[in-house]
Amino acid sequence: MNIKASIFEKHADWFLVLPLIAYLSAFTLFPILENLYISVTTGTIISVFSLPFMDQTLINTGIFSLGTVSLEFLFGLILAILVDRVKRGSKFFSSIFIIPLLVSPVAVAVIWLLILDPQYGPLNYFLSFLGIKGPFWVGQQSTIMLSAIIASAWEETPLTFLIIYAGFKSIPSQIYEAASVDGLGGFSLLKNITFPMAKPSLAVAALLALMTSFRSFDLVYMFAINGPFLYVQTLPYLLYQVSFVSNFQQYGSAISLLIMLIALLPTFLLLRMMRIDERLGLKKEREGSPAFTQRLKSLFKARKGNLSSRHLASLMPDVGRNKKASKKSKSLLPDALTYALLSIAAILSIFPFYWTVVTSLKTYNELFPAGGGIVLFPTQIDLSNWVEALIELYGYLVTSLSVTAAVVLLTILIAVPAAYSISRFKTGGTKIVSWNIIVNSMPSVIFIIPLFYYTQAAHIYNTWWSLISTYLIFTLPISVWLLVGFIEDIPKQIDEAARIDGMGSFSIIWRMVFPLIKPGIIAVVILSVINCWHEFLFTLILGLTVFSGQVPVGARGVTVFISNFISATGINWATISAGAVAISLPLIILAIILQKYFIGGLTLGSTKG
Amino acid sequence: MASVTLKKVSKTFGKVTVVNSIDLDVKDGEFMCILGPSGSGKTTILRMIAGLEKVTSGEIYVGDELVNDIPPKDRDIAMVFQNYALYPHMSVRENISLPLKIRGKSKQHIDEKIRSVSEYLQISRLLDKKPSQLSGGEQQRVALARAIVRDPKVFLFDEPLSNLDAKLRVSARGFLKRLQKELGTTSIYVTHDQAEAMTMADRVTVIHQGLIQQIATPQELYSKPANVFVAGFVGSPPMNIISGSIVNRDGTLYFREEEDRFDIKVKNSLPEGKVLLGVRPEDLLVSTYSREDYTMIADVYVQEPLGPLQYLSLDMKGLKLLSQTSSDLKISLNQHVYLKFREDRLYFFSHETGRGLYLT
Repeated sequence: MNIKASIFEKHADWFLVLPLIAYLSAFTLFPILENLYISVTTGTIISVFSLPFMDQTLINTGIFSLGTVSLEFLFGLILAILVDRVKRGSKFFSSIFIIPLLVSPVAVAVIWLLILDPQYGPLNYFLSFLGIKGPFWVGQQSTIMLSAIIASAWEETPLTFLIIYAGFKSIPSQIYEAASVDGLGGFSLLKNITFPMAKPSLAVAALLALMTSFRSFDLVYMFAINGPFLYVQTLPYLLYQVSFVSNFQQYGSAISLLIMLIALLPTFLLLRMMRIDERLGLKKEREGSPAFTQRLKSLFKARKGNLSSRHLASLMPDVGRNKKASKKSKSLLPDALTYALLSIAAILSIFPFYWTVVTSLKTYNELFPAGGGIVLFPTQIDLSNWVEALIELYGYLVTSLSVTAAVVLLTILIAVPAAYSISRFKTGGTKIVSWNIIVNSMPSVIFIIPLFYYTQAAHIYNTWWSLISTYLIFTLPISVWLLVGFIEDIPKQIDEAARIDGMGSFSIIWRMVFPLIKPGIIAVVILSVINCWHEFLFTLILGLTVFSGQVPVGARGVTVFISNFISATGINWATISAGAVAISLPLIILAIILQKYFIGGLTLGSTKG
Repeated sequence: MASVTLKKVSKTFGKVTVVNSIDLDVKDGEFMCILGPSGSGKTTILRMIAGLEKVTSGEIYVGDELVNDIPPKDRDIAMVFQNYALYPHMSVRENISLPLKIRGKSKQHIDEKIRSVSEYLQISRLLDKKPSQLSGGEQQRVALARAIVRDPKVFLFDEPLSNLDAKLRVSARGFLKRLQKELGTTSIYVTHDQAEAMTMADRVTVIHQGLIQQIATPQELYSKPANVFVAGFVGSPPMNIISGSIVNRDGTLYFREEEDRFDIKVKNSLPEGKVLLGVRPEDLLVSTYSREDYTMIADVYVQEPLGPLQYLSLDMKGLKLLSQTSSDLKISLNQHVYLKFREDRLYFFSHETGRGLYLT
C-alpha cells in the first residue's frame, strides 16, 4: 500500500465530496455574494423598489404564482384520485399525463400561442360554438396573464399529479382493506384515509408547484415578447429586462437578492418536510410516518425482476408492500365514469401537443382556411416546414447535444462520489445535502448576472464551456440528493464486506455502488438530459451566436432557436411548430421508454431545476 | 493462523460506552463465541477486530502484530455477515473470486481455489447464479466460501445463522463447527443465541452492557455461572431466580424465601443474610401427590407440552416458578402439585453483586 493511497483513504470522506463543494461554492455561493456586493456598493439594494413598474411586477408575480399553483393543484389532485382508482391502465394514463412536462417551457409557450391564436386557434373556435366570442388572449391586457397561467399550469400539472399520486400509492393496501371492512367507502374513504395519509405529499406538491411557478422565466418571456408585456412580467422577467435589455445590471443584482429572499421561505419549509436527517439515518425516523422520500421509494421497490432491488428487499422486510389490492369496493364513481373522465383528461393534456404536430404538417391552405374555422384533421401533409425547421435547427442542435452529453458525464463523475461520501461517512452531516436542496430550489435567474461576468472574464462567453460549466447548477444538486437516497438503500454490510475483501473507497464506488444504483444513475441521467435540453435563460444570455462548425464556439441551444423564430422571421406558425415538435419529441420518447426511472427520479428528487 | 488478543479495549459512541475495557485472549485455532443480548456490545467487539470500527482506547493484536491502525483489508481477516452481504450484482463465482482478484492473484490460482472451495462447500453448481437466486442456506455457504477462499488468519462471524429458519439453523450449526475444526482457523463468533454458543464454541465469552461477565467452556458456563446474569442467560428455559436469605436455625442453615413462601435446608456453608437462589427448571421436581421431601405446594398456572418434555409454569402463592418435566407426568390446569429442588444443583448468588457464591 503506498503512502499517497493511504492519505487519500484516511480523508476519503472529504476528498470525494470536494469537487461538489468546490463547484457549488464557485457557481452558487460566490454569485450570491457578488450580487450582494454589487447591490450594496451601488445602493441598488434600496433603490430597486423605485424601479418603474416594480409594483405591477410584484403583483403580477403574485397572481401568476398563486394562479398557476391553484390550477395545478386542483387538476393534479383530480388526476391522482382518478388514476389511483382504476385497476387497469394507470400506467397508460400516467404516461400520457406526463407529456406536457417533457415539452420545454419555450415550446409550451409556442404550443399555447397556437391554441390561443384569436383567429386561427382552436380555443376561440370551440368557444364560438358556445356563442362566446373569444378574446385576443395573449394580445390583450386583460387576458395575457390568464393565458400565461393556463399554459404554465398545463406544463406543470404533471409534476403535481405525480407527487400526489405517489403519496396515494404509498398507502399500504391493508389500511384500505381495514377501512373497507370498517365500512368506509367513497368520499368517507378519501376524507378519512387517503387525504390524511397523503398529507405530506399534498403539502410537498403544493410547495413545489409554488416554487416552480415563482421562478418561471421561459414561458413568461415568450408571452411577454408577444403581447403587452407589462401585464405578464414577473420578477425573473424584470431581472432579465433590466439587466440584459436595458443594461442596468446593478439593479439586476438587487432583483436577484429580492427573488432569493422570497424563495427562501418555501425552500426552508421544503427542507423541513424532506427530513434530511432521518433520510441520512442521523435521526431516528418518526414512528408511523416514514419520511416522505422513503415512501416514494416504493416506486422503485415495486420493480420486478431487478436482482439488486430484490436482494435489497429481502434484507428489508417492510418494502414491497404496496400491492394494489382490490381496494375501494364501494366506489365513489362507477368505473365507467372514471374511465370516461380519465379519457377526457387525457385528451385535454395531449390536445395542445397534437395541435402543434398537426400544425407543423399542414399546408398553407389548411393552416389558414379561406372560409375561417379550423382544420382538426389535415387532409394533406406538407413536410416542407419540417425540412426548413431541421436545416435551421442544425447549429443549435449540435450545441445542445454536446453540452448535454458533457454535463451528464460531469454530473455523474461529481455526484456519485459525493453522494457516496455523504451517505456513508455522513460528511458534513445534513449541511451539504441541505445546501444542494437550497440551490435546487433557488430560481436559477439569480445566478445569471455574476455568471455572465465570469464567462466573459474566463473568455468562455459564447462557447460550449460557458453552458457546460453553468448547467451543472441544474443537474448536480438534484442528482446528489437522488443518489444519496439510492446509496442509503445499499446495506452497509456490502461496503464492509468489500473493505474486508480488500477494497478502498474508489474501487467500492466503482465496483459495488455503481452497479447497485443503476436505476438511480438512469434517473439522474434522464433528469439531467431534460434539464439541459429545456434550459433557456442561460443559453439566451451566455450565447451570442449559433454554432457554425467551429468547436466550441456558439452557445445558443435549441430553446433559443424556438424563441428566435418568433422575433426574427415574424411568426411562421408551421415552421415554428415543426421546430417545437422536433426538439420535444426525442425527450418524450426517451422519457416514456424510461418512464419508471423518470417518474421515480422526479418524485423522489421532487424538485426540478 | 493466529491468536487474537484484546487488551483493555473500550469503545464509546459520543457519551455512550458500548465496550468497557475488555481483555480477551483467543488462542490460535480456537473457536470463541461471544454471547450476549442485543445491545451488549458484542458486535462492536467483532467490528473492532475486523477494523470496521476504531477502538477508543486499548490494543488489539492479531498474532503478535498490533492492528489498531491497520485498515481492514490489510488485517488478513475474513468476516461472514449476518445478512451475508453477498454482492448482489455479481455471480457466486465473482463473489468468491473478488477477494483474490483484489489481491492480484493469478487467474490460474483463482480458478484452482474456487474449484476446491466450492467443491468443499458443495456449491459448485451454484457458481454461475446470482445471490438473489439462492436460498438462505445456499447464500450462507457462498458467504462462507468467500471467507474461506482467502485462507485468512482469522474468521469473524456476525450471527451468521440468524437469518436461517429454525431447522436449517441446527444443521448449519453442526456444519460450521465441523468446518472450523477441519480448517483449524481461529474463529470468533458473535451470537445472542445461547444454544449456538453452547453447542459450537470451545470457549464462550459472555458479555453484558459492554462488560465481560465470564469467559469459560460451555460446560463450565452451565455448571458454574459466574453471576446471576450468566445463570439467567445460559440455559433454556432460563433459571428460576428467587430472592431470600440464609438463616441459621439451631445450627442448621436454611434458605428462606423473602416472603416466607417456603424454606429449604442448605448444605453449603453460606454466610447468613440476603442471597439469590437459582434453580434450573430441570432441577425443580414436580409430583402430583404428596411425597416425602416434596415439601412445597404450588398450582399449575400454564402447561406447555413439547413432545417428550413439558414446561410447567407454577404459582406458589404469587411466586412464579418454571419447571421442566417429562411428559409422562399427567397434569391439569390449576391442579395442586408438590415440589422439590434437587439439593445438589442449587446455585447461590450474592444479593448485592449478583456474583456466584461457590464456597465448596
